[in-house]
Amino acid sequence: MSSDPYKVLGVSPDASDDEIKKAYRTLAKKYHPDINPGNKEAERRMNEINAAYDQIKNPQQNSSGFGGFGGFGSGTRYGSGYGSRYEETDNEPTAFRAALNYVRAGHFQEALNALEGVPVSERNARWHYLCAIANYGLGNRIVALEHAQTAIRLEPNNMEYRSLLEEIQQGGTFYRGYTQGFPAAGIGNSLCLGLCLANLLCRFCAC
Amino acid sequence: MFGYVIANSESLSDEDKARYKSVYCGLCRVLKERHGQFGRLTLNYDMSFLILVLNSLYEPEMSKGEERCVVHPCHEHCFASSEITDYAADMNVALAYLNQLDNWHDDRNVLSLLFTRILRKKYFAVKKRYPRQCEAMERCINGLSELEKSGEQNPDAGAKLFGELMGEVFVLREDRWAPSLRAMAASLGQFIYISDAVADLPKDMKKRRYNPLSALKKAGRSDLYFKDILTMLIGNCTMDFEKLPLVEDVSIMRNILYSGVWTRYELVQAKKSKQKGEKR
Repeated sequence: MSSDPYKVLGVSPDASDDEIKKAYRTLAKKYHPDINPGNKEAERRMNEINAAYDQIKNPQQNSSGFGGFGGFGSGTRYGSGYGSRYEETDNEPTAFRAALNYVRAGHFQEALNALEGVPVSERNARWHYLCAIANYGLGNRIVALEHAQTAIRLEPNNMEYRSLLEEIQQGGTFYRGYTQGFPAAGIGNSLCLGLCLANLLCRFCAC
Repeated sequence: MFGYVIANSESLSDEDKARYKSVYCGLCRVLKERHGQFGRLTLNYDMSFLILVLNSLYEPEMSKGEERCVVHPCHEHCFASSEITDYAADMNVALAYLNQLDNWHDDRNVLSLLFTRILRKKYFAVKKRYPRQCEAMERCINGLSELEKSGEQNPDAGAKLFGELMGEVFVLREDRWAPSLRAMAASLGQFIYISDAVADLPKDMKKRRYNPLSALKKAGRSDLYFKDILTMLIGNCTMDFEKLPLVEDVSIMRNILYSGVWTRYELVQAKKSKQKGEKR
């Protein structure tokens, strides 16, 4: 895909999120295969539009799986880069090295199993860091957050740990940025009440 | 675990409020049409979000109208429904059936048994239409009840199961949007599961009942920490939500995700601080 995705969608590169979505929808309606059966040119355009949209909205999706759980699969930034840096320190327990190898191969459960075998007295910041990575890979976001925070508490100046925590919390950061335009949920949300009343009446009527 | 995915009606525009209500009324109507008066008993606001998302994504033909009904006999009100509403009604009845079945198995609640008897046939009709969704519901609800029995301390275990359930419900078709929809709904499900756990935590601790967060609470984690967890989960949900090309009704959906989902949480917090105030 060499063409400029913004050009394909007919919007300027500084277009807002909603402008991009609108432009996509308008074009998708025009070139949808259901509306243009058998039209090869429309099909080509539709593929182009879809690819342009993905390029803007899902830049990482093209490589592997989906964003939510991703980050540690092969080919992403935690995949191979970390391993080579890690090997520079020699006197690390073998369980740590095994865990890291499993993580790099995408075998997160095996990584966790290896880490479980480390005696409690040897569970240092790096152990928590590796646990965080393995759990995050398994989609255990809450436990991953726990371990990442513990690792930083034990070694506050470690940038590697900090960037992992940032990655785990990226959804929250994104959310806080977005919520600013929205009022906090009110205590007097009239919907709640309306719902209870409606339910009550419903029940009453059916009996 | 209902009543979390609702709009903050105070900050909706009048137009959006009317639209949101009409979608809800449309669901109520379709529930009655497809599953009878007892089907209507399963109505809840949460399913309106599913309808809004899938309607906006697929833009099916909508049938609209005004009528009086037994729930609102005094006023004529608008309803809007589509094939998506039919789907949501089916999912709603399936979830209600399995939920009641679970209640019967766990608590031997006779009312639940009665309800399952009434919904049983309807459930199997839905399951025939949507086997993928219903099998996922069965698997996850059974899984959740196993976790409860074994006293699982890892909060992610249950959150992931409930997320998986929601993911399958939100995927109507396996098309190019399925991965984003599934991921979005899975995070939403995790948020709902943990929200429910936060809300029940004080009561569960007192009565020594199962709660997925009790281990963290005992380890000294604060309410603020739980809010951070919830923000992380709903944040992941909105990141995937914003990937979808949703234009129609997007202001209502954003109201739900960025504000309305906290309604129950804020309610519980307000109650807590009031109790604390009284103690002092």
